[in-house]
Amino acid sequence: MLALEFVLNKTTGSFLAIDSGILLSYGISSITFIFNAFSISSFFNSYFFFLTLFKTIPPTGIFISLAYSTNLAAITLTDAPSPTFVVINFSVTDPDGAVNLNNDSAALNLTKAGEELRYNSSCAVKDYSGNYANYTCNVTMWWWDAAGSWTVYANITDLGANLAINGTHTVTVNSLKGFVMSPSALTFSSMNAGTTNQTPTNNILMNNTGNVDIASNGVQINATDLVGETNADKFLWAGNFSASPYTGGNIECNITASATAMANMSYTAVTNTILAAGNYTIGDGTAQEKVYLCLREAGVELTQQQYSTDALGSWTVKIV
Amino acid sequence: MLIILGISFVSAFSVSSPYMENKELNIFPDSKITDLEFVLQNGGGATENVSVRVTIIEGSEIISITDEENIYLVSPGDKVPVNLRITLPEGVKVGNSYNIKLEFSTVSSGQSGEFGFGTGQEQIFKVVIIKEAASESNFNSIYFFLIIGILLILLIIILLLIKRKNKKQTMK
Repeated sequence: MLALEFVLNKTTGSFLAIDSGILLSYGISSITFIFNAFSISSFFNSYFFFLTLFKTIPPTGIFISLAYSTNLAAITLTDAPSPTFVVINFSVTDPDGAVNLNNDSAALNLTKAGEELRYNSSCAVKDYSGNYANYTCNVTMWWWDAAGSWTVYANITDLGANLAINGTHTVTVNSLKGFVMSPSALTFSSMNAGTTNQTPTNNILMNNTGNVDIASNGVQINATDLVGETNADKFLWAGNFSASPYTGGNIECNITASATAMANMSYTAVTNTILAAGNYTIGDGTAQEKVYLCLREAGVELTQQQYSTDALGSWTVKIV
Repeated sequence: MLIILGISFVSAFSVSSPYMENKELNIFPDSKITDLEFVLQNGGGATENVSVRVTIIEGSEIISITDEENIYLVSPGDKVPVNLRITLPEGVKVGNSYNIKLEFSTVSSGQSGEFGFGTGQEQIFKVVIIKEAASESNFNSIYFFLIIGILLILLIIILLLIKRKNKKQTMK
């Protein structure tokens, strides 16, 4: 709507002529107006009139407004490896009628700096009536999508290719913290009483299943002594184990270098471990960390029997 | 002597949280009680149930678990809520803050001959008492009534002037 104010000279006693050329210069092809003379005064030796002009919008100059029909609740991502389907509805008002909207163009994006774009380029019409249409969009998110505020952009065009965008809303993604470990068994090729620096033939593999980056030294292990099951006076001492994200040349056994010695019933940060968030299913090391264990010394007093965590409890691998 | 240390890995789990180390919980002093919900999931391709114990490591003076037990059974693919409550103490002041540290860890029953492994994690966030800001609606209301008042005064002045003018013309 375009509003113009006219001041009329009282001596003329008539309205000023409205030049159609001036109107055209304002981009107005035709006008209708409501005339309201709410006060007439000669106080300033003039009459004051306020005229309100309403622009008649041609069919090609469509105006579209978007408004989300629902409050956007915080998103709880689904744990890996499953996707999270986020449903967001938005509504559109078109003065030329909902039939003038290009339904195939209805789309919705979720964006956050430094993150991959999440979008649905083909939102579905949920319902429509008169000038109003409601769309529902299903956006796929993944467990590594960062926590925090994401901006929601909804957009649509009409049949005349006029574009409308609404980017005024945000939605919060909650943090998701977790990991999964493998394998199911650690194998020491040979171990005899009195031997040193024995490493398993395999290692612990950790996959980050959430969207929280685990910073350096953020992997901790609470170790316990392994107690002999036949003779409970014999132990594989927790303090004789070490852990490291590195291997080769028994470096995982070298606690004077980068390896970390474990302690009985106490959390110990494994030095230099990092477990960033990401898509670990790629399998190239993304969002993965390896932890190599070492039994630095099997006491000469040990006898051949089973040693287990049954008596003192399991080891716990924790992320902080 | 060949030794195979049979590891009993307890299935991993994850925790979804509305607050974290870089997202503090802001509370007004008069908000005596604030309920929070964390969500436990048993994903990562898990095929077995996992029991998770929740322990308040830090902040127990203001945070408590409102569920009946602090051990939660989570089936593969399930989402299990952990309900917590923040209760502000008497006399709390703007600017006060509290560190909260929660530990989530698997509960495993040791078995003979096993080298058992569990998993765990910490959830850390801060609760900060903040000043309640004047709401935008109040701000707008003040200006709305101010504008209405000014317009009314102007209208009265104009009417008085018109009346005086008419009076002068009548006297002539």
